[in-house]
Amino acid sequence: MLARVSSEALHGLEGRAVEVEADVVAAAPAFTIVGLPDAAVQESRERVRAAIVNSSYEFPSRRITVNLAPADLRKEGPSFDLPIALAFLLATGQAKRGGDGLAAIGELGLDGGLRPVSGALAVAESVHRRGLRGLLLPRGNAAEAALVSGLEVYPVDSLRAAVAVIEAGGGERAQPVAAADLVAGNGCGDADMADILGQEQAKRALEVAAAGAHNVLMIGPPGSGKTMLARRLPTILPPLAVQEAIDVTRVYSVAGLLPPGVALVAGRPFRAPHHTISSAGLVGGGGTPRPGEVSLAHLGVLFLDEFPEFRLAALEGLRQPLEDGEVTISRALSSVTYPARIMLVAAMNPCPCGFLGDREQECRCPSHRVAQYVAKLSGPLIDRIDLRIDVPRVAARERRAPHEGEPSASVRERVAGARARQVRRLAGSGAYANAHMSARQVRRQCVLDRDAVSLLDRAYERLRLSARGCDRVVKVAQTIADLEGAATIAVAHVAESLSYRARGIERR
Amino acid sequence: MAGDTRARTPTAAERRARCLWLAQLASYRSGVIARLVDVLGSIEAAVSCAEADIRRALTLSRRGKLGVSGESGGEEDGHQPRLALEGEVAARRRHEDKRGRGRDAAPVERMTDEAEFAALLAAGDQAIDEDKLSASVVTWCDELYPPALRGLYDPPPALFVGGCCAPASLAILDERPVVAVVGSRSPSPYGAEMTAALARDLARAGAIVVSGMALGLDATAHAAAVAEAEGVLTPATVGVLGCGVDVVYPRSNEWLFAAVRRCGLLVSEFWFGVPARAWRFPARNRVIAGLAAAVVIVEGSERSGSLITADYALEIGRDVFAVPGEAGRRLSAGPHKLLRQGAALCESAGDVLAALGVGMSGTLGRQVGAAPNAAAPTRTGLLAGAAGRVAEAIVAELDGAERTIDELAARTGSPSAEVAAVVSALEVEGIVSVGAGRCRLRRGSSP
Repeated sequence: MLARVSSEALHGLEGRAVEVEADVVAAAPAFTIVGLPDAAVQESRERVRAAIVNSSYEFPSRRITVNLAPADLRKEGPSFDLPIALAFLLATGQAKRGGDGLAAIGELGLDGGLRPVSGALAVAESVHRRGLRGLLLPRGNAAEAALVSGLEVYPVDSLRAAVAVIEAGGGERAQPVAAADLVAGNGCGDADMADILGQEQAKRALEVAAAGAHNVLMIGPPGSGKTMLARRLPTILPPLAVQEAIDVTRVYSVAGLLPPGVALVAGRPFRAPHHTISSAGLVGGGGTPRPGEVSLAHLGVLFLDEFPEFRLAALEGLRQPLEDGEVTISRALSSVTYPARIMLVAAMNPCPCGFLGDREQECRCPSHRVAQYVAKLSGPLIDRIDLRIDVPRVAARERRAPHEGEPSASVRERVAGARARQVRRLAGSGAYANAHMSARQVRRQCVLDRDAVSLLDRAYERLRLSARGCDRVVKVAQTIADLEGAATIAVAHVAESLSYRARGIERR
Repeated sequence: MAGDTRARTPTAAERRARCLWLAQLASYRSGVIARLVDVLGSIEAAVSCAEADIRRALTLSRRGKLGVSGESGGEEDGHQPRLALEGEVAARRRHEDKRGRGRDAAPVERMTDEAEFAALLAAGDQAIDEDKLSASVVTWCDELYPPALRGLYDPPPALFVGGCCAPASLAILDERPVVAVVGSRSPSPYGAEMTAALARDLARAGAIVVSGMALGLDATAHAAAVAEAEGVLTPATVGVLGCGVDVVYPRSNEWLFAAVRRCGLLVSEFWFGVPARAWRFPARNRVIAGLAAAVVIVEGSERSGSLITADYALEIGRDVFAVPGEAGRRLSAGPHKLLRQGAALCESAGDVLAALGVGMSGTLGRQVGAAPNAAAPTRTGLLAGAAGRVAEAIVAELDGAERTIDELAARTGSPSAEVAAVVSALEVEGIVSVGAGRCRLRRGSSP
């Protein structure tokens, strides 16, 4: 006898329809799964067999064939356990179908219990798009799936509970979740710019960076607060829009990083991978492509501490995502695209020992080692970093100062205002922030007044800026003008922009 | 027989060939000349004595008996002149003091050097083919040999000279004040600024700046002198090398070598193509001290090579100047040690020039740089009006201290964004320099 259950396979960040067919015939006992299953899917035979027996169903000595259609799509992971078991029970007549239009995903335990799987949000969206009525899935995945409005989400704890839902054609449903409520209710934890003592210039630089979506490089000795500053950058970025939060959640769900029971990643992501990370770990990839850190930081901040220590190959891989805002990973059989619209915050010591230019502690690096260290930065990646700031250590006196810094919320307001101005100005150009202006757009869109032009020209000569360095100065000056609400770029904007060049690493 | 050669006075060509041979030998083993002087009494004696005497003086084992006295030449072993023995002990001590760092040299390098040395020693001075040498060699017996170097205990037997105007312009070293400016290879911004200002002002006053063509302050000094005096004074600077005059070391200084060749002199006591080795740098320092009338040490740690230069300078009676640094700093240790020992204080080129009896107005007929002047009229709009007052306050705060932008903001009561902007404008005007997040006034910046 033949039975069919709908399910979904993940392809990148999207679900693809998969029909699970089970056929049970009286022949030599066997249990085979066909339809391009990977190792985890092959192992599901053992889990399904044990779960069925331990749920007090019968596992007859027949020839059982399970087909996952379409047969040319590679199936991965344990999420087919539940539909295979359901199809088997339907095919052997141990369960009766009570209604149509239900899909199922879930990993089975040997006792018949269900475990959460990754990518439930993408699956739920795809199921809804296909016009199916509802989705059975492990309880831990219910919250994220419930973000999809109009889809009946049935959280189940065990195979028996799943059979009950199938037979009744419905059952206990998860409460629909309104993403808008979560976004409004959830900030960025309790981190706040006001926590940071001193470092006014660095804070200001981060504000400018946030306003124009510029990438930042911070150079300073260990303990000067680079990591603390970077961690608070998400708190001054405008809050995620509802759709943005869902986009971020989808990536986290597919990567299996969404904690069970959590519906939405409501704050902007902050990812800080260790510098030993591989290229695949940073930009995504692997035999079966998975999103890398650059995608996990989508719409948030990717923080690379000890920047020169990262592998060259990994850093080179960042160039394309920084340019395009997405990563495409191609494999022989398929290619997938992950979103990667990030702000890159890189941090490094001024020299290998970290104390070059520090007042309290002296640097002991020979000059050629410093040169080597800084030379690791050269190359096209550094050209995509608009703000380079020195972060000196805060003197003890200043650390004790009682004055409270400005809270993130008020900075965030200014940043949102500046972003809105940019969106209006850049409408129709494909860019949404100053950082993404091309050289031509910089020349067309940025209006400098006379004094600003003369300062820029003198700086070009006296400070020996490169042509590209000049463009960067104008771009950042434009963001500073936007923060102020000024129509043209004034001399003060250019001058402040000039201060965001780390003199130690500027290339001639 | 050795006595045959000594019987007659060598011809000028023979003396020149002998000098070149000695220079070759000295290129591959440290202290060769010092040893010859110890044993034979003077370099003059080494130039005119028999070849065998030199061989014998150089092949004696360190602990072995000395068989040769400078005066009597071919005497038998066994008689040991007291003076020579003392000289040898002194020479060995000198080795350990000044050339001690050379002992770390990789054994392979040492072996190749020693093999070269042995081959050259065996070949003798007859093997020198002067036709194959370029014209740019000045030997001990030439007129052009810098008189200043003759005062050294172990003067180089020959100088190899490179650069546009070599070697006739060696004569100019006798006519103009020559000042060595040396210091750390990894200086602080302060040291770099002081060095640049010193070298520039010295060159402006018509002095010739001598240094060691190394990274860091040496390079800064040469570059500043070249920038100031190019086209006006030739040679503006003399680079003394620890390798062959045709070798570029360190490679990253290639630009500097080109600049100094263009309007200065490169000088080396080492044979063509001789690679840089640790022991050759202290030897080079001796030539730097010898060429200069005064030596200025800017920055250096307690073990700095600049102190070796200062030692040599004291030994031969040159004026030693030290530029003071911040107390307690590693890079201040060298100059401060010298100051404690009685070196003269150097705050500007004027101090050195006054000691040498040269007027500040200089032979180039230009004024030596004025002090930084914040009130100087500037062409950018930012430094006028309200921001101009902030600029003045910033310059006042920076007088005598480095400050971060945040510290300046706290002290002037202006927001850090505004301070950052004003500092950038001051930087463009060349009044302030910024490095590692700290702002400082530029020394002797010309408005």
